[in-house]
Parts: sequence; C-alpha cells; structure tokens
Amino acid sequence: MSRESDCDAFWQAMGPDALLHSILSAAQEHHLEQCPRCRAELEHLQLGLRGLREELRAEEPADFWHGMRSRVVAAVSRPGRLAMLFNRSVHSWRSWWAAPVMAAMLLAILLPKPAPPPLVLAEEEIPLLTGMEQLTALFDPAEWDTTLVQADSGWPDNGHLMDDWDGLLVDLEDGTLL
Amino acid sequence: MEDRDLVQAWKRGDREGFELLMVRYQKPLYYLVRSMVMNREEAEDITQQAFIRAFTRINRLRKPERFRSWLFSIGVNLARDHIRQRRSQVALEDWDQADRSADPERIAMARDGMRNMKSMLRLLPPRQQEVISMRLFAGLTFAEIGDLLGIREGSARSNFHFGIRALRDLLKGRECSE
Repeated sequence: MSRESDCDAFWQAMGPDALLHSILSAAQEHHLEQCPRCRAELEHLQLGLRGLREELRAEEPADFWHGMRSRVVAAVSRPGRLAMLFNRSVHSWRSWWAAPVMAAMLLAILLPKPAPPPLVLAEEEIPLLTGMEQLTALFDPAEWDTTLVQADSGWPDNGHLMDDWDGLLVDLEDGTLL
Repeated sequence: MEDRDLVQAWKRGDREGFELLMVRYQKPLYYLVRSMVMNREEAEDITQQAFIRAFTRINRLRKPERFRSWLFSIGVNLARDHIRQRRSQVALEDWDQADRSADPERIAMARDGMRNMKSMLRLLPPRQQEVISMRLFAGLTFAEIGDLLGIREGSARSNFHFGIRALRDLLKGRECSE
C-alpha cells in the first residue's frame, strides 16, 4: 500500500470522535506516528473545530432561557404581541397588516368588473377607413400601371426588400396584392 | 411525561403542555440553530420564532410522538431561510460566487476572509455545512441528521466526510496564501 493511499484511508475513517476528542483507532494512531503531514492537518482541524464548538455551545445564563420563554408565551397569548415579535425578527415582512392587504388585493383582482359600454363610431371616426382614404388619395389611378411596370421589373430578385411604394404589387385583373 | 401527552394536553387547550415542551426543547433547539447560523442573537430570534410557529401550527402535527423532530425541522427551515438571506447579502464570503466569477482578486479576497473555522465552514456547500454543524456542534447522530434533512443516514455520513475533506483543502489554501 502506497503512502498516499494510507493517508486516504486515514481520512476516510475520520469520525466526529476523532475530531473532537482525539479518539482514534489503532490503525489511525499508527498512521499518525509515521505521517507528520496528516498529523499537522488533523491538529489544525481539531483546533479550529473544538474552538468553534466551545464558542457555539457556551452555556447561556438562566435568565436567557427564562426571557426567551416569557417572550414566546407573551407573543402567543395576544395576537398584537405576536405581530410585535415577528416585526423584530428576521422575517419582519410578516406584519399584522399583511393578511388584510393581501385579501384586499385578491378581491380587487378577482371581483367581476363592470363591462365597458360598446364602442359605436360614426363612419368618419373609424381610424382604419379614414386612413385608407388618405392613402388612396395619394395615388392617381392613372399612375397605377406605371407603378406595376416598375415593380415588375424588379421582381425576378425574389430576395430583395421593397423599400418604397414602387414596390407595391397589385394584380390588375382582380386588384389583390401579389 | 411523554411528549405525546404534553402535545395532546396542549391541543386540548392546556397551555402548560406547551410551556413544558418549551422548557424541554428550548436548549437543544437553540444550540442546533446556533450551530447552523453561528450567531447568538440570530439563534435566539429563530428559536423563538420556531416555538411561535409550532404553537400556531400544532394542529397540523398528526403524530404527537414526533414532536421533537417536527419542532427541530421548523427550526432548521427557519435557520436555512435566514442563512440563504444572509448569503445573498454577504456575497463576498460566498466561495461559490467567488469561484464562479473566476476573478482571481475576488478569490484572493475570499481566502483572506478565512480568518477562522467559522468563515471556512460558511464557504462549504450548504448541505455539508449543515451536516458538520449538526454532528459536531449540536451533537446529533447521523441518523437524526438524516431524519431532519430528509436524507439517508449514509448520505449524511458522506456529506460529513466530503465536508471535512473540503475543510482540509481550505486550510491548505489558507496556508499557501499566507
């Protein structure tokens, strides 16, 4: 077995007891005696993890627990107090007014709205028709043939884009767009 | 008195059942949450919230004998939400982001920030961090961790080992940069 695989096996067997309390198997002890690199790494890890564990598990004073219970009991006893506690918490958005506001917004979305009155326009008020009249007024029907001749001359190039009115193709027979 | 009896008394409207459960579980829950968020005030706040949430949702608990793991899962979820929120706020300490940005300067800054084990743990993937914290600092077994996180015991173990390996790599990285 190579040295690298010894190290791998050593770390593979590493459990919480070894990290926190230096409880190692005989094989692990044996490996540490021969491998200063793993020994140094383990010491580093143990130092950091034990220090943090001590910090995180530091005993709180009795009034800390009592105060926590009092605040929870007060909060659940009265809805107003519950809101106060939530307001000072990390989820401060859960305020007492959130539920009514949400309900009002939902009602506004879901309630049926009165239908708008039907739109009745006089003929001269209809934008499409008035627009068409203005458009056709620009063209003299006598010039339509010319337009078609010019457009036809450009047609073999199917790929080109028409960028002016000369490119507008109209079938003379039935007046449809080509 | 068993948890089940206290929960049933509580459901019948006996407030003392709730208070006795709070006395029983406030310490382990607080230390579990504190091992995750690694901050005293935040842990206190989240523990209070967990009890309030348990109080308001007790009717959803179908198996009263499972009260402990139900309460702990409320605390774990609140702590996770909090950590997620904090991670998005403190992007500089987030190794993933520094790594993704592939910006050597940012990576170097993140490494410089690794002053101690706490900051290194925060650089681990969330699941590995959770498992290491719960096992080493909160003292839960791998089976309990698996139950809380909704993963298999074996998966909790492998996350622990991958996390320890990642910590070793981070320690080496820190030594190299110093």
